[in-house]
Amino acid sequence: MRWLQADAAAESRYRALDALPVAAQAVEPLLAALKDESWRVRRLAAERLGALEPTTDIIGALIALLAQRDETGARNAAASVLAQLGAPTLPAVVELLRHPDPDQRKFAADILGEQQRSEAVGPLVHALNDADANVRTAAAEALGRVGGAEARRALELLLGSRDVMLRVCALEGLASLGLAPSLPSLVPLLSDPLTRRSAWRLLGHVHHPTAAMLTVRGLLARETRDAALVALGSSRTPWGADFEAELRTTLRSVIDLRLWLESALSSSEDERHLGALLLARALGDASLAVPIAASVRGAHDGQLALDSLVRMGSPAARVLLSSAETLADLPGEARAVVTDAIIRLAEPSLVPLLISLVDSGDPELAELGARALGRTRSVDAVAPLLRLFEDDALAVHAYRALVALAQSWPDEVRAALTPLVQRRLQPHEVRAWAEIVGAQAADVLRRAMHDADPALRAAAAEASLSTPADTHAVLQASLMDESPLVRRAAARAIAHLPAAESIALLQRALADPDASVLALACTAAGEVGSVVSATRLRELCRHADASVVLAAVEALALLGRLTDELLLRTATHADEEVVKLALSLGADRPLLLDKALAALTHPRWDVRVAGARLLSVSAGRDALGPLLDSVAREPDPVARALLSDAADTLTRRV
Amino acid sequence: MSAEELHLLRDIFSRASGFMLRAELKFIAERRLASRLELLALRDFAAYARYLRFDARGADELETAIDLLVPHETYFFREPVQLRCFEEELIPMLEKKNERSRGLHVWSAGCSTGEEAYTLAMLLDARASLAGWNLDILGTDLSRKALTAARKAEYGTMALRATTLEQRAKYFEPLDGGRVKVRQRFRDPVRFGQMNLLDAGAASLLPRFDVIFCRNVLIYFDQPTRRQVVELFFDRLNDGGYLLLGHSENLLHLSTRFELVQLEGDLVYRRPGP
Repeated sequence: MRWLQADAAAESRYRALDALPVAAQAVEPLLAALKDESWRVRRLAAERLGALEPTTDIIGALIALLAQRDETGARNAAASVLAQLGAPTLPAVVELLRHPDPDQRKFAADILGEQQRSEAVGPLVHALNDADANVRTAAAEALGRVGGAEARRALELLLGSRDVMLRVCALEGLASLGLAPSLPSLVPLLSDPLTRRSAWRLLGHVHHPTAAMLTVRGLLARETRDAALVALGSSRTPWGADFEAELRTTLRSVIDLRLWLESALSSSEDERHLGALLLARALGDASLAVPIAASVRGAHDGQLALDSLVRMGSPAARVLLSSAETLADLPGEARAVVTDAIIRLAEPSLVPLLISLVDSGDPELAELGARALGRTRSVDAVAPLLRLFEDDALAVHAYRALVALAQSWPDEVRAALTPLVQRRLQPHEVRAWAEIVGAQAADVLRRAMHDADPALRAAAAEASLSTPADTHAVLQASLMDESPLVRRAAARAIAHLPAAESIALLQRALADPDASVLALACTAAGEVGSVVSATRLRELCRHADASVVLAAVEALALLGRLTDELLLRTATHADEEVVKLALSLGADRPLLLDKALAALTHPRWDVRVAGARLLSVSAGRDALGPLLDSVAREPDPVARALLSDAADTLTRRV
Repeated sequence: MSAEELHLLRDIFSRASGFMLRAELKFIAERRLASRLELLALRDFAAYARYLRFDARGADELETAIDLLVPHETYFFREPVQLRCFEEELIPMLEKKNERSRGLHVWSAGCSTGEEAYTLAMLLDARASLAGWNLDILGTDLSRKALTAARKAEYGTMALRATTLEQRAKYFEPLDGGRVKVRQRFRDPVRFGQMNLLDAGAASLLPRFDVIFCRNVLIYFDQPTRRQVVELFFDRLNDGGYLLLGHSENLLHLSTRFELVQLEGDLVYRRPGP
């Protein structure tokens, strides 16, 4: 047995560096740490240096590090910091493009590419004529990252270069910028084995009938088929019906098409995978349903896969449902797509397969089966749903599915439910029964109301909305129930009553001792427009439980009774959700500007964003400085983008 | 679901369970949670975030949401190389180490629907020299739904995808519809419990273990949570106890307190000690 000890010394250096303050005195140790033997220490040093104010000394020290040939790790780390520091380093890095050492010039081109600043285009174009091939290539690559009209012109010119690396860099650069060159400059590169892959990728960006024709031809030939698929993938958008029809006709003769597409669908190359997805969609071959679903990796291809499956219709659903074992194996993204597709494609002929899904033993697939059965509009779906009332997790789906099926088969669903509601009741049976038979559910509701199980009494309270003659009495009794579960159900139900019928019930609910009931009662008061509850709602704005305060303030806002004094008090509440609500409700009132400015330094990112949003719509020019400062110091990338949006809105407005 | 809503939910899930709702999970989150929004009659994901925090049923819903987003995919005899290493190298060492106490405590942390915990029971049962020992296998998970399935011990064919016909006959009794149930003998040493790995209070109730299996769980946590959980594992291991992670996981940047041990068949982590 061999025992391996972790590198404790590196760990202690890392921790020491981590403990340094982000300040000027940290510069020296951070620069020294760029030479550390541990990449982790170097990475931390680079991150910290990149966050500092870039002084001439720091920039000079970093440039000097680039010259240290025996310090590969330090050179790369220094280059990464210079790239992060951005504009202030530009003159020094451009100057480096004229360094006698080609290695230094290449570093300079790489850094300028990383920085993506338009001011660098001129010097980079000049570097395309560098004596050193590596520098020329780095400059071409950098231009492909920077973009802009001048860079585009330079890259298009490079398509005719005698240097194959420059041609490839130009093709890749234009493709990554999504810029289509003229077809005559591109076509010769499609057949050159050295540039073929990049040229086809770029062809996908050319929106011209000839480009489409070339792509179809490319798909027919074995040697260009994969590259043509990349062209399809790089276009990233589904095509028109004519082009799809042409693809179907043309590709009919390809013998191993399905196998090849299956392999392309699982390709790790993004554009090839997307191209395969688009082609599978165009072919509409349902036998590809499982590989299509299995190929999904995220949002960018998930929607496309889902649309493709839905377009294939019930044959695709049948294929998916026949592969229940495979479905259980699929990763989360694929399962999400399959679920949506099956729900959307549910129809009567799928009922037997959906029943198998319910019986699969996999809780997620069983839920999918139950939900989809409700959308089949088939009477055959009723019986299998009934037994799901016994399953706590599936009962709610059975209830909703039966209510949906009752739209098409009211008598059949009712007949099927009758023996169930005559026995020991289940909460979701009560809900289903009441929604389906309406006023005739009174007897069942009464039984449920008197049951020892609070869940049944709660179901009765909710379901009483379907029996209007009994609603008031049931809710009145429910609000006096000893179980908060039942009182909550009643408070929720009040929100669906006409204002006049709700007064007495609300009065009771708004005096409930339980905060969760109170919060729901406040919401109900707002939703029914109960102006007479305003006084009580104002009192509840001082409640100790933040959920009650939130609901009361929201209700008062809905009723138009939220005073300035109340809003100000809400904005200073201890709970950040309440503060956020105040900031969002106070956008049209200048009295919260100070609070919004203060919120920019709140420890929670969502409160900072709420403050910025208020400023963006209410503040004057003087708020722009603090808002931009908050953008600059925001550590959370999502919050930074949101703060930046708010700053843009304010800038445009003032 | 906007980036802001995803971020709000990420904060809530992370605080509650350490589960990291990364941006790349947005597609799944959007789809999986859309049905919850519909069921709860909520207008958007911001309202859902508030429901999770403030509604009386918020805590249950949080559990449901995390349940929907965290994959529970597992099966019997998963990662056979590591299991062989457990069976052929670790158990003999622990048998020697614990020969006085004649007890062996194993924790399957993040056990999902129980396949791993029962697999360990099957492997321990196969070792004749452990007859009469106090074998205790604890499976814990955050998901109540998964634990209900684990206790039921009934499985479909997907859970048996790496199980040989011989193993099927030995360890399972057949049920209708091609399903199987773990035989009583292999259920006996296994117990289950609900546990949030971030819950220090619950962790303090745990005994000390000889081996902790936590495979393909840490990948769903953010870095600080991983550190916290790994610290918990260190704390709950006996001196010389072993931590077995999934093949794509390691303790790099998480802890330097464990020793990395290279066995014949695998690399495992060990709490230093005799």
